[in-house]
Amino acid sequence: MLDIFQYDFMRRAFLAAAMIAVIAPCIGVPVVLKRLSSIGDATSHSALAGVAAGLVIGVNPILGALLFSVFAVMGIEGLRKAFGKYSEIAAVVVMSAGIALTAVLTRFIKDGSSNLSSFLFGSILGISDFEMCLTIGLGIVVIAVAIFLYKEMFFVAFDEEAAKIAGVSVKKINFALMLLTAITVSVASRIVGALMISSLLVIPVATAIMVAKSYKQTVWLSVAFAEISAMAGLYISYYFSLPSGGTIVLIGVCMLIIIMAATAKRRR
Amino acid sequence: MKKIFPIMLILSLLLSSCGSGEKKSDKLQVYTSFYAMCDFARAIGGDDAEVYNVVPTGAEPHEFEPTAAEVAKFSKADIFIYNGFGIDAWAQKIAPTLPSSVNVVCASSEFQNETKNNDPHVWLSFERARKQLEMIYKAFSTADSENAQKYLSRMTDYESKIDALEEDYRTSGLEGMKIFVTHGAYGYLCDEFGMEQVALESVSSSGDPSPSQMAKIVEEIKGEGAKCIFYDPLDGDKLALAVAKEAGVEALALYTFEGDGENRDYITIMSENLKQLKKAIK
Repeated sequence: MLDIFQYDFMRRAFLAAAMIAVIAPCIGVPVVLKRLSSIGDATSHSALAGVAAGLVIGVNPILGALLFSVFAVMGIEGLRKAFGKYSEIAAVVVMSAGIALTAVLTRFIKDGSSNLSSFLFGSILGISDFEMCLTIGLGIVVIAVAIFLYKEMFFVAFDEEAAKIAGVSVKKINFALMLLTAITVSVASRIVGALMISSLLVIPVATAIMVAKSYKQTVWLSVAFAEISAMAGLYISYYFSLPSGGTIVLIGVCMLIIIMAATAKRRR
Repeated sequence: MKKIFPIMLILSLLLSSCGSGEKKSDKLQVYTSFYAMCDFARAIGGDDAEVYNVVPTGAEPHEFEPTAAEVAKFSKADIFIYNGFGIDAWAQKIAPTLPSSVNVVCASSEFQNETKNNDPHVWLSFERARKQLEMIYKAFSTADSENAQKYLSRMTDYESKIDALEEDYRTSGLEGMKIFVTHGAYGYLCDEFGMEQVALESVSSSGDPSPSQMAKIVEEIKGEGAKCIFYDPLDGDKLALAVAKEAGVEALALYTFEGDGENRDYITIMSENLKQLKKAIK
């Protein structure tokens, strides 16, 4: 049963998945509570536009991706305020802009040396030494921020007005959260793939919301759910010969459905 | 809405007048769906044709969508060349809608019934590449019969270079070799020289392999004592490097010639490929 660990690429996959499963919900909880669930998709699609832009003007495409994802989250943050209650529109607007911009910019690429998406979208089975270090570094930063800004994030996530009154610098906290989201999504897309990161931002949090009774519980449970789907997903994908990223996400969705069904009565 | 209509009308008039403002060169206007087709057409057309590559290397071919202005240009073109077999599906859709004044070449039409797992990379076989050149030459000589002789001699020229390269391949001792690849796009090349490809992912699959597929190919590489795993640089080298590291072998580039960042021609790319293949010989 443990022959799965004889491979270096599998050990890396497990370590990276375990790390991402902590990082994603830590950012995901405040993001979801701020009604910005589609920020992951919006950011990764904008990052792809950044890769295209980098290729067009001859700048390192990865730098382009990072810059564009920062623009994207700042754009979302700006639009979110304009839409007030309908803040979910913001992410969709930015995502559409990102996809459209990619389609348009692609026309101006003169000679790329490889396919657009191979610059950005990685695979959890192909993690290099450098990427492993990057994941761990990112994990440390995100966990540190989540701990140090715990109270502030909590305030900002639920009620920005109340947060302001309580003396929280809402602008700064939002900025930090958005910046962290941008970096996490673009870096993690390159490492484990866009599907996995944008799903793990939301699905474990959605599952946790079903059962958690407090903010703290939501954070812990969503990390737990993310870890379960990441670990189980990798195992199952190995033994049943399925693509890992997709399996991890599907397990997350299954857990959500089961928990929803189990708590349906209570919620009614 | 009422205000928008006149603006739209003016805009569309402006745009269409821009299009017709181009001066039409007296050279043959040839549009090709992607790089490999473009190279073949350039080889035959030489200075007598203007050959345009529609999908740039690096762009996503499956997300590609020609603009209205481009479709207008295709329909005014002398020749429109695409490969078929799904690699340039957009061109397959456009082709039947083009006016009869356009010579449409589906460069894989002769091979349509030899369904090799729907592998579109027919040009990686020298024999088929020559056939593709001949089909393209025919379109050129029909569209511009005055220069037919020139096109013919350019084609024979290119073909003799291919012949010479084929001879190099034949004498390199590739026969019976098992090559390991990330993406099974080299079936035609392997068939021609008695090689066998073992692919991490089949030619038709996109997306990620499963961990067990990774493990399987690693074991096979070790079991076979192979020296390397090949990948197409267009797809990126991530998975190839992971497999190579695991199996303790090298990851080497083997081009599919779907595109090339340095604008090298078929002969150059295929000689590069031969150099790489030789490194895999035990």
